Amino acid sequence: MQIWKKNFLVTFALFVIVVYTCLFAVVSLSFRNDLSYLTKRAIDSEQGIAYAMQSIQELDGGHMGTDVAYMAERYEKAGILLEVHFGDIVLADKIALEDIPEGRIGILTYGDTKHLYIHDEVLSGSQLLKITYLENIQSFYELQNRKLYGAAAAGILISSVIGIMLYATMKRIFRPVNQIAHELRTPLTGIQGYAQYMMMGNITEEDRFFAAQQIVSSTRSMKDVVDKLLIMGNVKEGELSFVPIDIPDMLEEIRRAYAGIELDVSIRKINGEPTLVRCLLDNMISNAVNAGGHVKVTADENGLCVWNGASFQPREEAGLKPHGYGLAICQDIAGIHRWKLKYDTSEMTGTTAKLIWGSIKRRLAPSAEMPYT
Amino acid sequence: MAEILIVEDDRSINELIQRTLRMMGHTGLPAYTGREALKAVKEKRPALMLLDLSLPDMDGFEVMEKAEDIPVICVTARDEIPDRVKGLMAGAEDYIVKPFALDELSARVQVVLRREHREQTLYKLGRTEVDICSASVRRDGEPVDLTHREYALLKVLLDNRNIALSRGRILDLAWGMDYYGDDRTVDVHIRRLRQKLGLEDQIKTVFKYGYRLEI
Repeated sequence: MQIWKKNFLVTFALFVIVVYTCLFAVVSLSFRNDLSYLTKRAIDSEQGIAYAMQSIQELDGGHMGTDVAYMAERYEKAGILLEVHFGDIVLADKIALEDIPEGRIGILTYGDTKHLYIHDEVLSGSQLLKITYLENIQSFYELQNRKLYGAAAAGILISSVIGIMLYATMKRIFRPVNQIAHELRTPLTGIQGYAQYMMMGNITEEDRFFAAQQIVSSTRSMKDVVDKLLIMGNVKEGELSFVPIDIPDMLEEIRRAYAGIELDVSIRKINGEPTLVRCLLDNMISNAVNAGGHVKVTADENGLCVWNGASFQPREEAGLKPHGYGLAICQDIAGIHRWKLKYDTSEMTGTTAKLIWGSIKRRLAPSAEMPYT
Repeated sequence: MAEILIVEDDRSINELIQRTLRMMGHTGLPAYTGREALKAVKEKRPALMLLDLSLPDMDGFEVMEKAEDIPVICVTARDEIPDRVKGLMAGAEDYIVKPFALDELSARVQVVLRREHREQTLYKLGRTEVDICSASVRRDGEPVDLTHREYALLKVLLDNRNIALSRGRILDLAWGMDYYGDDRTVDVHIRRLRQKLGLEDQIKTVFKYGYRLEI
């Protein structure tokens, strides 16, 4: 499996674990709070019943049995079952369950339903009033289950959305890197192969010269790929530093690498990312040089022009290896700077590559750095 | 001497492979697209196809599928395991990843041609004849006694004819990676081969590098 896919799976798995842990923590917390509230409410209710029975006993001890039985029936309709003992006398017994666990408060399962039970004893007169309170809380548990399923569904939805975004992002990052790694292999093959051919083969001087040419051409291809990596590195970082660039200096430096270029520069500085601008100008000039003919570079406040006397021709015809990235890289860099790059070509006037600077605000740098957005 | 179809869209690499095959005594037929390759397969019936899987007009696997009975060696930049497995399962005889060494390419081509019985088995080097099939060597019609190491060395030189090999490489190829001999062992055996077979003019010394058998 490719490394980026493994990375994606690990990252996604961690993310899913975190999401579900958080969701279930929230649901558990909610359950505890709700149960705590429910219990408190039941205790208050039971204490209310105990107080009421105490009052009945004090005020109307003779009819206590009837009154308690009536109360028990009313509560039964509301889903609360009561068992009331006054001394040895059973005043109400609505609870069919034989063994209710010990302990003052608890939860038990009766049939398929959950119940909250409370055992209470209060002194009423000289006798002990024992009350067992049993409330059906199944609906509470059903609600909690619905919350749990909802959380699980939310988790699936969030994970799916984030997973898709993560996959797309990692693929978008990795694919160009992978593609570039593959694209480097071809020029490397040329360099290694022709170098070995020169070393190992029984070859003529003409063959040797041809091999050397191919090595130079492959090196240029590798440079194109490296330039592309450079751009990607700068662009992907999300922030480029635009600084004032001394255009005459930069063009002079580039001219030293290519013989016979005429320069006519009347602009001093332009705001841009130095590495990318250098790459752009180098590409424009090297394309013109490779196309053949006299090359002239002019630069002023409106833009920069690279003119060569030859009309545009495909690189294969020029006997050189095609540099597929050159034009694309130039367009990318021009776009980043909000410049326009155009090509005009004709047999009569030759080929002109025109770089038009952006608005005047962008041309000259008021300060050292201007973040790119 | 075999006709080998080279399906590679990069002209420089295609030319490199053609030149390498020519040094080995084979003919390289160039094709820069899948369509050209299929046309060449139909018309020329090459002995072997060296196929780049990333072609401009179609997938290399499609070419492999359509050129059913031609042995194929994949020569490609796709080096991931799934691609290699897919290539071999699709019927490729071998799989070479770019960048490759010329002697590696040469050796793999030889192996496949030998397997397909397309490789040359009889060599004439001046007054000496070498028959790979019967592992016999004759000079002026008379059998020549070669030691096991001498014959192995001669075979390596024949397999890599016209290609210079370093002494270390010769040691590895002729006597295996486990042999802890000196490079001078190679010199001694080369001298003996030259004397026994009269190949002083054919086995050339490549200065500061190694030796090359010129045919």
